[in-house]
Amino acid sequence: MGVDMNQNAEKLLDIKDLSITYITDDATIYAVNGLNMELYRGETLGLVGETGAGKTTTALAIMRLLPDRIGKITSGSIRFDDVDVTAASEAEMRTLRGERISMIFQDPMTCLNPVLTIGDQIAEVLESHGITSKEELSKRVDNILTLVGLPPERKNEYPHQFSGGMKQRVDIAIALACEPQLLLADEPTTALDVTIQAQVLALMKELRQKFNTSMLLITHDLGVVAEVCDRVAIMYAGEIIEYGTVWEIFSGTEHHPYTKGLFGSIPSMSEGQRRLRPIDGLMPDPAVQLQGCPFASRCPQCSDRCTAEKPASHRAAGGNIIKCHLFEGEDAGGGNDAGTAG
Amino acid sequence: MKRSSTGEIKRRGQLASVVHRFMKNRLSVCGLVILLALAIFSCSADLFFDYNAQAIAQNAQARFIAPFSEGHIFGTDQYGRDMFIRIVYGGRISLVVGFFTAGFALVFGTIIGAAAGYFGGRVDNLLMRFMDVFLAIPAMLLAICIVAALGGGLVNLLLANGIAQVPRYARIVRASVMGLKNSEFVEAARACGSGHTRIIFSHIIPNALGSLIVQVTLTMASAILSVASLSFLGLGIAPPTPEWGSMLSTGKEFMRQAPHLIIVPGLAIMLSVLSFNLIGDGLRDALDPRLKN
Repeated sequence: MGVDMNQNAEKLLDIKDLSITYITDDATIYAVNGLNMELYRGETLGLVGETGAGKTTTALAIMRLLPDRIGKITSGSIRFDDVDVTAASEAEMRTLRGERISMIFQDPMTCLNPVLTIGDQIAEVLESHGITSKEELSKRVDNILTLVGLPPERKNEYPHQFSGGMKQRVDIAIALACEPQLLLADEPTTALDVTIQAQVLALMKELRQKFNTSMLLITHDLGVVAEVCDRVAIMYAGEIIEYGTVWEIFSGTEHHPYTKGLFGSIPSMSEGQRRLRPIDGLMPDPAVQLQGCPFASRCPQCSDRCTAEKPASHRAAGGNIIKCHLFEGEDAGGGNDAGTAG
Repeated sequence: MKRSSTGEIKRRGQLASVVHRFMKNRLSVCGLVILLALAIFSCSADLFFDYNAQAIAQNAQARFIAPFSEGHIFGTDQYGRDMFIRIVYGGRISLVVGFFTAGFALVFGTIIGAAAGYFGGRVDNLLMRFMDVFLAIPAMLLAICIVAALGGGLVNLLLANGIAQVPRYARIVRASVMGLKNSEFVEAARACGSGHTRIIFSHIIPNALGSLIVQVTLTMASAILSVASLSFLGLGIAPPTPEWGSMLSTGKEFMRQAPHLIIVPGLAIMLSVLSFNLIGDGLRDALDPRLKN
């Protein structure tokens, strides 16, 4: 988990200054505001944040699956390998989805079609990406089922005949059927109990290494992040407010006040009984565009400047990038290029 | 798809459990038996009877024979033709009309409804307002207009009935599609790179099939009734072709001296419509997972 392990690796995903709004009749919701993110080949990036921080919106934008007519990318660019996602045609995107980028969803109970057998659902991805021969299809389906630890004989069964953990395995099978370069995992273990969670995470890790797939793991479980990720991005109100390697985030001393709050909200096993220190207040109303730092209203170290001026990104002594005025003086060289994290 | 390792644990396929629940409903099974009897008689009629000699040719010696006498269980009509044979051949027309009307309405209604529900917005508005126009015209009147314009005959009858039924299907399908298109498995399918056609036909419509199957049985019943009505009015199948509605129409003049001329075709219409409705009821209950027990 060296700091610069990916400096020479190839950039797979490059998001620059991304802003997304949802426009409804009642209000305009600023879901993502000026987000910068990079992901290298074979790397796992954890995207952490509370509900409504814009994590899922970001993932949907990468696949360009934002809800029609309502969700809009207002500025910025998303580059995936050699494709400009924001400018690509619908046909280009369709060949991308499932084959080069795929997604694992949060709830395995609802994301499988109840009236199709799981074999058919796995075959569908392969079929829409060019495999047509019946024998080839059934062979590939058998293979991928074995790979995720399900007996291939069960491919003719329907989703209701599987347990939650098995359904998540089917989801993973569907997502990895075409051996994609990028896997977007949207809280893949939230709906599972802890033992199954560990199995599924181990499975994902194993398969990812096998196919050299990069992964964007969306979660609010810091334990999962520590387990699986190479790098972590902490997201708050549509912005990445802290970014660094797992080592920097979990062991470093200098953090964004929000990150400190997050870690303060985790019960500790080693220390004696103490009350948790949750972060007071709520996330700012996403329908209002803020002048200053989005965390200002909840920040214990807030100053006048925080409410008036948006903070830039600064590199802290530990190497992590923090978007906060408190770290302005501390730039440890080269970190201040307006939020280009990494 | 039972696995031998788990033995004979209750693990029925979806179809098997629907059949099981349907079979528990006695009335629906009655309906199914009546319908099957009708279908078998109609399909195999040519094996036992000679259409031209027995259902069409007149026989002046055997007019108005009462039911259950002289070897005619339903008696004979005013031209001396055996009523049973004519009812059986009439059943052919009724069944064909029922199936094809429902099929026509199912295919076109589903396509229109699915497009409207899935794409929404302007497409939805355009298609559904067009359907509303059709719904505003009484189905019978529409059928009469079409038959009057294009002439009678089986094909025109099918068309007339089918067109009148399309809007109903479009509405049912649209409603289910609008609910289903936001479900997570549709989103998952999109994330897998599936196109619109595949999503509509292999993900959404199979999930909406339950309510459609019920509607199909009800449409068949109403199509049979509608063709009988049109023929009764002289707009449908013309005599001497045996058709229940036209048999009723010609029989009504002899109502007093030979009541079986209208009772027999009347019962045939009633029983077939009833059987379809009973089947529809049973299917609705069997397909509704909330009533599982």
